[in-house]
Amino acid sequence: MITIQVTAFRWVPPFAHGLVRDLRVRSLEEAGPQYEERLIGQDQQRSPEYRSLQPFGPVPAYVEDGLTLFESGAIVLRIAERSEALQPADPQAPARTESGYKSAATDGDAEWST
Amino acid sequence: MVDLILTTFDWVPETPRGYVRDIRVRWALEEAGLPYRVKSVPFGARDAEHFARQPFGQVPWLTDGDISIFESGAILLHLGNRSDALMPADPRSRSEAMQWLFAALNSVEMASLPWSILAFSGGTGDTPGWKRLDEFLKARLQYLEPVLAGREWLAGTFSVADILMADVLRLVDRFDGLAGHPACRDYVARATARPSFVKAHADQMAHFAAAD
Repeated sequence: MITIQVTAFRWVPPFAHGLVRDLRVRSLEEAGPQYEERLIGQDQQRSPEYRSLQPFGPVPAYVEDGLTLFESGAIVLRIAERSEALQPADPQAPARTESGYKSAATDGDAEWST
Repeated sequence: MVDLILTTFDWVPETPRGYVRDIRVRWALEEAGLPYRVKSVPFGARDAEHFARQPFGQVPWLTDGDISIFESGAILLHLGNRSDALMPADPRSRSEAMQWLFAALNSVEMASLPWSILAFSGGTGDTPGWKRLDEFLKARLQYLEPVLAGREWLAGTFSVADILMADVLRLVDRFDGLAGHPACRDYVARATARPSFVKAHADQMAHFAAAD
């Protein structure tokens, strides 16, 4: 049963293909659980309903059984918590994973996605 | 035995004092009431041991027993896992705190830091680069404004997300970038009025002054 929904844009300009940050959340592919896409356009991006999921407006947003999250970093941590495939099991390793993760989360396609 | 050791520079010039990011860790440790020691590394020559702890040659880093961790956001997540005063215990509120922690460092600071660098270095003239950054930051603040107008703290109770968001915003405020965003400004004021921030700030100022 699919209980996870990930929001992505229906269309972006060619230069952004492969760079929009829903790609990060598709780490779900590594972790295993099934998920469904919700594809949105600019009209939905600006809607109060979407802003209640993602206050700044970009993608991705994530919904899991009523738990809603934005920020690709927070979403990937949530997915990692659900799955050992994305997080080393040794007790020191989570600290290193979070470090590496925060270092990686500081540049890129800022206006498209977070 | 104190097993938490925060490492920062031994000295920095006047301008960044009060804003060096060890303040985020000091603030969190004070909020949690966790005992800690502060160690210094040279601001000047940064040796291999420094880069082994912090690969970019920056500060702070924290050692917790035999764990060594860098990046202020990662350190605050680590401390959040140790103390309910820093991160709510129930999973839903915890996720909310984590998303706002990332939002502070990614959605907001990614826009605000380049803006602050230009504001500080006088690059604010009528240039395309400045206009682009100024619009980018204002767009982010525009959406943050109603969020902060509607709640005292980002994830219900005060959390590491507020330490980071308030610290990110107070640097913008230093260059008068919150003038059109009263809820952001009020939020910074109530966060920095907390005794833990006041102590963390005073301790950082004293730490660097002692090395003059």
